[in-house]
Amino acid sequence: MNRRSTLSLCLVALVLGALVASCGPAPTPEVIRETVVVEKEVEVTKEVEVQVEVEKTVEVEKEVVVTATPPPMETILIGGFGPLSAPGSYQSGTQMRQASEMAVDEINEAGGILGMEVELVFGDTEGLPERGTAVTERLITQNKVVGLTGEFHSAVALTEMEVAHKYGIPTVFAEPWADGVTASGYPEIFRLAPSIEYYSSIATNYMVAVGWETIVFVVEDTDYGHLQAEGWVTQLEAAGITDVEVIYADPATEDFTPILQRIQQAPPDLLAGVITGIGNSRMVRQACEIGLAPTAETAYYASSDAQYDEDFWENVGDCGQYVFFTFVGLPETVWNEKTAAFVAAFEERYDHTPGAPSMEAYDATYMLLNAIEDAGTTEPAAVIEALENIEMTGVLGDLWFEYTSANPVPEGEPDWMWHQWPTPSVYIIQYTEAGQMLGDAPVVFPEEVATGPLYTSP
Amino acid sequence: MTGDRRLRFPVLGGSSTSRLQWLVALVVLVVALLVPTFLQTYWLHVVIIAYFYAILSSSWSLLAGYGGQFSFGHVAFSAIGAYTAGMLGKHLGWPPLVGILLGVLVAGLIGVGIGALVLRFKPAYLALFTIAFSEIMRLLIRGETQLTRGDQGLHLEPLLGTDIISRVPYYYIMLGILVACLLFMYWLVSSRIGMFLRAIREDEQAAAARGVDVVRYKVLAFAITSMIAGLAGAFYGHYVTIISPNMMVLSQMGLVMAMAIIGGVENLIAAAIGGILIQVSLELLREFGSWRLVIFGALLMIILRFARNGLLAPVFRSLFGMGPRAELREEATADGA
Amino acid sequence: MDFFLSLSTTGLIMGVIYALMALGLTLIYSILGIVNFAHGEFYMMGGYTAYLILSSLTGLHPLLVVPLAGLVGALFGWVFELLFLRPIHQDRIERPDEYAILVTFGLSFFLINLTLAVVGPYPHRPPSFFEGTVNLGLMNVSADRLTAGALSLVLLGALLLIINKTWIGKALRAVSQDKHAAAVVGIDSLRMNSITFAAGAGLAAVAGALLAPSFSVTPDVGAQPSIRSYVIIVLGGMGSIKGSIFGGIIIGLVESLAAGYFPDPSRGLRYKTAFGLVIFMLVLLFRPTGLFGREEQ
Repeated sequence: MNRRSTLSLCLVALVLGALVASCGPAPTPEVIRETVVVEKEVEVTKEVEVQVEVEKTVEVEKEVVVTATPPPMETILIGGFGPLSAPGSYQSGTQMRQASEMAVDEINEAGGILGMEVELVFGDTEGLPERGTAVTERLITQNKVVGLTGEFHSAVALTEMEVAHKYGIPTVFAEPWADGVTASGYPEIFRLAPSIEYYSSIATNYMVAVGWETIVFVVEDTDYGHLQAEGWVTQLEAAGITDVEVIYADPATEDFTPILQRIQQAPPDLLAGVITGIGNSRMVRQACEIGLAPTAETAYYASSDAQYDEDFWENVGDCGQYVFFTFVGLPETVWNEKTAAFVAAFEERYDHTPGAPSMEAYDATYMLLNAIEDAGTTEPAAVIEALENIEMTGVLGDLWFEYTSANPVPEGEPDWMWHQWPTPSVYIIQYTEAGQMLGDAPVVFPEEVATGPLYTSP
Repeated sequence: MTGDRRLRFPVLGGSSTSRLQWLVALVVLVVALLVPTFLQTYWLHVVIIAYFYAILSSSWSLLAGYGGQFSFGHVAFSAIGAYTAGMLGKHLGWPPLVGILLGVLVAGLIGVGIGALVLRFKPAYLALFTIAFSEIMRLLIRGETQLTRGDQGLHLEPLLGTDIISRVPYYYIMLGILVACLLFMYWLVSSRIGMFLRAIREDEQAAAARGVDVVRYKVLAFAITSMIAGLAGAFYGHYVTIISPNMMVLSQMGLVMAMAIIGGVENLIAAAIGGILIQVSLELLREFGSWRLVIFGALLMIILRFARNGLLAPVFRSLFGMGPRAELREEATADGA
Repeated sequence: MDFFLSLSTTGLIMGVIYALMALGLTLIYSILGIVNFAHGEFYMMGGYTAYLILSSLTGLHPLLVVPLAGLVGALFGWVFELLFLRPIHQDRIERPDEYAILVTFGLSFFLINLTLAVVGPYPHRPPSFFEGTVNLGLMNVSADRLTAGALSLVLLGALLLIINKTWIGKALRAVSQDKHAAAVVGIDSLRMNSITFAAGAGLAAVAGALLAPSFSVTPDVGAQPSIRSYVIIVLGGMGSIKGSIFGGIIIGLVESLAAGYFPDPSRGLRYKTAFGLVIFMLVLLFRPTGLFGREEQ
């Protein structure tokens, strides 16, 4: 019995030790880097990358030299966050990560920042606010990143920014649209994406310009959907359009036909199906199958997922002709050289069309790193100041921030204009031919940049 | 029954090794108390969340493994606790502690309701019914955005107020809740109630024939475990400060079940440890993305098939001579066989 | 009235397809005595098989892939049954009911994440069976959906024939009524189990392949059909073939009419699944044998 208890105690001690070690303190930075590289290698097999990429990733691993905390840095570590798995919108998050990685690779190829190699550590926030907190904490306290960039979901961004603010780490948000992100007034937080209010207003102004009077919105039952719908209803009312109905739907709905048949009882001038993901395609198909929209009597407004032309046409077939949608980013007709280069490089490397989230992520990453270069240091206050004064041309156009600590948001302007890129490119695009690629589809609004007629009816 | 009135702890084995078990438990507790001294904020957060899952997996193991009622509604009760606290705080401004208390009560009341409804259900029907219940609750919480803010997330006040930003006090509170729940559930299973539950699980009709109030104990099991889940959820809400309906999707229930099963569904401690280990592993394996869940799915199936009592049962058995078979041996010897 | 008829037509077409999938589930319950919690994932597998085959072998007519998808699902089901479910019927598992629930749930978890990891998150769609829409007088229906509905009807008819008129159908019915008596007359119930599980999985896969051109596929596309199938078999009576057919049609109609007529269209749409679930809970509470089910042994 004695031997047995001693043996047992030893075993228990071992198990406990293993437990403790596994929950132990931060793995050394080398370990982290290895896993980042592993991820890239997995990328390689999936996307069938060129041989060169493989070698490059190996090189990065060899070149990095990192010592214990805090590093007298020979690498600049920046953090990225976004949804890479459910229930987040992993399609968008994956693109954003890819774009950021591409940006970092390009910068490294061009010599790095302040003579140092840049490294991106990307955290999967899964679209869950609590994950946002955890991932941001980890990036800042474990990986010791000097800046943060990315995120797709507004609800998650709202928790992430609290952590970034707590530690004073400069953050350039790429995609979250909630007004609250910049309305917070936090000095560390910057945003490239439009706010919801601004984004919705482009669509509303378009609807008013075309002259539709009865509108039915079928909107996804999420924060994105609700905020948008509320914005539209208010703005349309202000413009005198009051015959507006909003119906909320579970984005995972397979069959919208019954509700569409119901709407068909009194067909509106415009049917808006603002559902992201697979729901977008389903609604377009089903509305067209029952002859509701797009038709001569009823136009169809899709969610911005329609911008992914290959996926869109694969999933909706000819039904997509005459569908229009709001596009955030630069349409091909307004591309600058950087945009063209980016799109080509992205498609080559990842075999998928880059959407607006990836353009924003790309620019956000570049912006953060350029600011570090401008500041001459990774010290947060200096980087923040550099960001406030930054002027650069990204794939989205000319980027700068209007309202900063030197020029605070004045009375008449909305709070969310703080650290907000004031002219995000938001346009209305319409597919005028079946199978039309995004680049060929005309920009129909705002009129100043339109390349085609205001609205082409079936 | 053996007629032995001494307090027994069947889940840890017979009385001859109980002193050793207590010693080990003490050592583990001391280590747990010292954890904040060597873990930094991020990992501390991971462990706090792991404790949350441990509370859920161990209480589920009480209901399912011990009581034989394989309910799929457990995470729904956790969410009910969290949302009750959240809504009371947001709409009525009530303080967190009151919200948590009410969250526990509401979860318990609904638990009693569900427990009563499913009394005569066979396992498959019980599973289906509780799945339906869980999904309806999720759709409701997601749909009634005026009350719950749906997918946008409901904000809760941090339990210790906005001045205390350190995670350490939260760590001790969550640990405290975990320990308290485990001790309480222990006491429960080692008391007559536990005996009755096991009798009901083994053979409901025989137990009824011997005078066990089947209805009362089955409903009691639901009530208690749903209250514990509600407590965990409400405190979780006041810790992470933002909750969404995603906390009660079926895959979360699957995760809790996997934790209990892989740890050992008929043993509270094993289920709790299963919860902690799996949550920490999931975090460690983060880089592997979707593949880590593929691995866990496979592991779940394999363990169910080949290691019915979970991974930890063999360890416990060799260390302390405990486990279901050991229990029977103990009973046999005590019976004077 | 027109509106009612259009809604009903939509509901009927969907109902027939739902019935096909639910039939698979009810067969499994009837013969193996377990609820297959991974049924939706076999549906998903069918859809993805159709998509993957057609995207590599582009010359193939999409209709040909449907039976192939069914075969793949059946094969997978067969293997799973052998490895994980057979021990139940060999009395090697304590607490077999719970085990079956948990292991099929584990399979579901595994399959969803495997698909996500291997194929990726983007929605995909195999090519249409037939392009365009068909005008039925009152309303337009897509040719794909009509094809899917028609094929489901044919398959249902064929299955009913098999079950009622052929030897194997008789053997299945014998096993579902009394395993031991069936063994006495020489029917190998273990083999019947494998056949049935494979068939059930295959039916779900066929339903998935039939609907993939209409609804597209993602890794979790099986979640709603799964829940719907449970609702249908409980409504119709678990183990009852007639029940699953009637149940499927009823649920198809209910979903359609509820979304069409519920006063608040938002809630109507949002709670579409919830209606089915409430019906489900009510049936379980007040008439657990469903419409046509037998009393439990």
